[in-house]
Amino acid sequence: MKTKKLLLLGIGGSSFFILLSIALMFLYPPVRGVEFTGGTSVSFSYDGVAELPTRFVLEEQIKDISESFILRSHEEDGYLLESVQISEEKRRELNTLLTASAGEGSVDVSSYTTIGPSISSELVRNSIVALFLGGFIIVLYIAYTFRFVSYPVSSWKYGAVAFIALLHDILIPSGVYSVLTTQTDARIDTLFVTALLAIIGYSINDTIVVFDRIRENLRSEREKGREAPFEETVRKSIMQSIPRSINTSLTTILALGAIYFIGGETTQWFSLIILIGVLVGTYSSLVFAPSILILLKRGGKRRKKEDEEETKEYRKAEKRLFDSLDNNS
Amino acid sequence: MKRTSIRMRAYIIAAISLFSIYSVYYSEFRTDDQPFHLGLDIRGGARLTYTIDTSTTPSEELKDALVSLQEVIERRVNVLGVSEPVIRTSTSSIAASSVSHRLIVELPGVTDIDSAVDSIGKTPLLEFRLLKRDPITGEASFEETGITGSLVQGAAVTFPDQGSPHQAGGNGAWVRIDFNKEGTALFRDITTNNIGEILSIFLDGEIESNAVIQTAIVDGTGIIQGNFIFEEARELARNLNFGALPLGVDLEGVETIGASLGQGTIEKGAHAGLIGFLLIALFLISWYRVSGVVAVLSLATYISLMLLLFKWIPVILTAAGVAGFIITIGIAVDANILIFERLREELLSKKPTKNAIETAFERAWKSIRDGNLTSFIIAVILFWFGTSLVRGFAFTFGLGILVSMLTAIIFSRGYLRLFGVLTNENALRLLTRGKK
Repeated sequence: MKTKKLLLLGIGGSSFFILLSIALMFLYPPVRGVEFTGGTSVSFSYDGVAELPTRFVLEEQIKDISESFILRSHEEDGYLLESVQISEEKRRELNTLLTASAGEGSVDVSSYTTIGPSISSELVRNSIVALFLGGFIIVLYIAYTFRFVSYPVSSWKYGAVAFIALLHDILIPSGVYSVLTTQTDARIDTLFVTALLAIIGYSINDTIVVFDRIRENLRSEREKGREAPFEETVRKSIMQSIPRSINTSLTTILALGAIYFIGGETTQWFSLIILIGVLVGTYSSLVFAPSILILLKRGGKRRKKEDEEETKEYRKAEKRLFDSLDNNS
Repeated sequence: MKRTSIRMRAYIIAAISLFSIYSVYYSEFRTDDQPFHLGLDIRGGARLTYTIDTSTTPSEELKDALVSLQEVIERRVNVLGVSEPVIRTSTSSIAASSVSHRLIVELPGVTDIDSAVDSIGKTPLLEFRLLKRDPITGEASFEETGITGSLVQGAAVTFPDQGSPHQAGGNGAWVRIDFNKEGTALFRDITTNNIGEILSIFLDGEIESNAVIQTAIVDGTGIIQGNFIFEEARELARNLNFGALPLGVDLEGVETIGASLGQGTIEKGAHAGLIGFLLIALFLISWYRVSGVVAVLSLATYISLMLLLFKWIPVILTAAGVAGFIITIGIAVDANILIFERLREELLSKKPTKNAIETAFERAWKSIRDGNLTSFIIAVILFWFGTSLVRGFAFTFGLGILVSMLTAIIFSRGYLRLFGVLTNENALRLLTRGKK
């Protein structure tokens, strides 16, 4: 496809999705799970009861235990309770309450989580630091290995662009998930953070492979003596990389798809997010990142052209001056 | 490379492939003592998180105190009879504004956390008891003296006056105990009245050590003379010093993951994994034909090796760890695909198959190396900075990258080389999706 179309698709498309994701995160602020807000989350289900205890009845009883909570239906036979942190004693009271509510049947507390918020803020902080530090080191590494193709785009820029593509790949699934947390029982939790980590790992690998192709093509052209315009080389590299990228993504998607459909409910959101991330990552490696490269190079070229123009003008003025001096003398 | 040596190598690596695949099968289905070590979120159980109060402890003593705390808690958890409990202290990393310490107790399979919280949280007991032997039956019984840990002011390692051995490993280190005022008085009474008797030190109901009361001790300082090597003496002194919980702990978080949830996840996950693998194999073979078969074999070897490593190291698998592993499978496949795509390009430019294979590998290797190395950098940094969840991911991810590079170099390449004898035409038809 023509370079213009590529740029439009790449920069335009990505900008649109990035802005959309940010907008979504504002319009549908993500609902954090208990692991990040601190609080208590209990998920329980009933077995062997003639009739499920109604939400209203349960809420009345739970009022004594927690000052602020939300109780929602979960699956067909249970509930999810999300509340502020309750103490140990209260937890036992809750257990008694739930067991009693089951009457002749039984209640199964499939998960109980009480967390103080300090634990998780650390997790987020550390992950962000790690991400940016990692990004920095990657930029250095790429600057080094790509040192022989520093023209027309300086080698450190490749690493920087790869990192931007990475941020792009995290942002978009986050936007989607943000909406999901407000509409379903998905929550920002450690599993979500894990999914983002997985996307990071995949995306960087993918982008670098494509860049490597560009590098190789640049070198071989230089060696052969001819030098196609940078954009051409990039385009060619992308075309060559398409079969590989698609196949690799397909494989990963197959694996994730299997997990999504067959794996337990705990991993459904998780695999979905990674799936989106892989799709976005493939797109960013093939379209978004190379587009930025082309843009960077164009920026450079424009400057060079401007310099040339300027120099021409200057020479002209110089010549006029000397001519006039000559004429006068 | 000579024809025969290619074949030899192929046989060898095929043997390794089959062996590793069989090993996993054997280890999982034929024997019971090599299980996978599953993290709490997969296995189900309880996790208790305590914040540790380190405000009153000077920093030089902090490390010892944390170790001591962990040991005391371990002892208590063992009483519960939980299999494979994990007790660890964690210090928040550099990036935090203030350093905080936590105690994390993981109890797999425990559903009743009430008793767990109780037995872990209670104040431990350091007691000095007198060993009494029944004169008639000879039975030993321990009589309480009322001297408990609360009366101990401090304990330290010391050496006998004459020619003390200073290096670790020498015999005869002693432990000195200093009591507070109340303790001094009590100790004086006990020792005065029981010269020649044995005084036993109990920690949480178990005998820590015994000492013979040789003289009445009035100054509140007792010396446990024994043939302690330095490390033993130091450990005893440390435990005595911190016989009560050395540091205050406060229950901050409780998590239970029901066994039902945990169990279901394992089975479903295994199912999903198998189906995913079959789908991938199907895809690879249909798209890359014989090369696809090579890839599947290489992939199977990779997965087997990783599973074996998980069992042997061992690696505790959490959901995050499994996620890391899954992504590395994608990356492992990618390495193969890179090689195959290059191979097709080389074959299309009419090169003889043998050369095409070598060149394909050479050129693909650069991409594989750069892509994987950058991912590895991320893995290392995440591991360094992360909390345990992130570390779980980073470890399997990083390990997977290394092993996948290995399998690509050794196995994929080794198997592919076998086909160097094909004509260019045949190679295109067999090893790639053809000329189109």
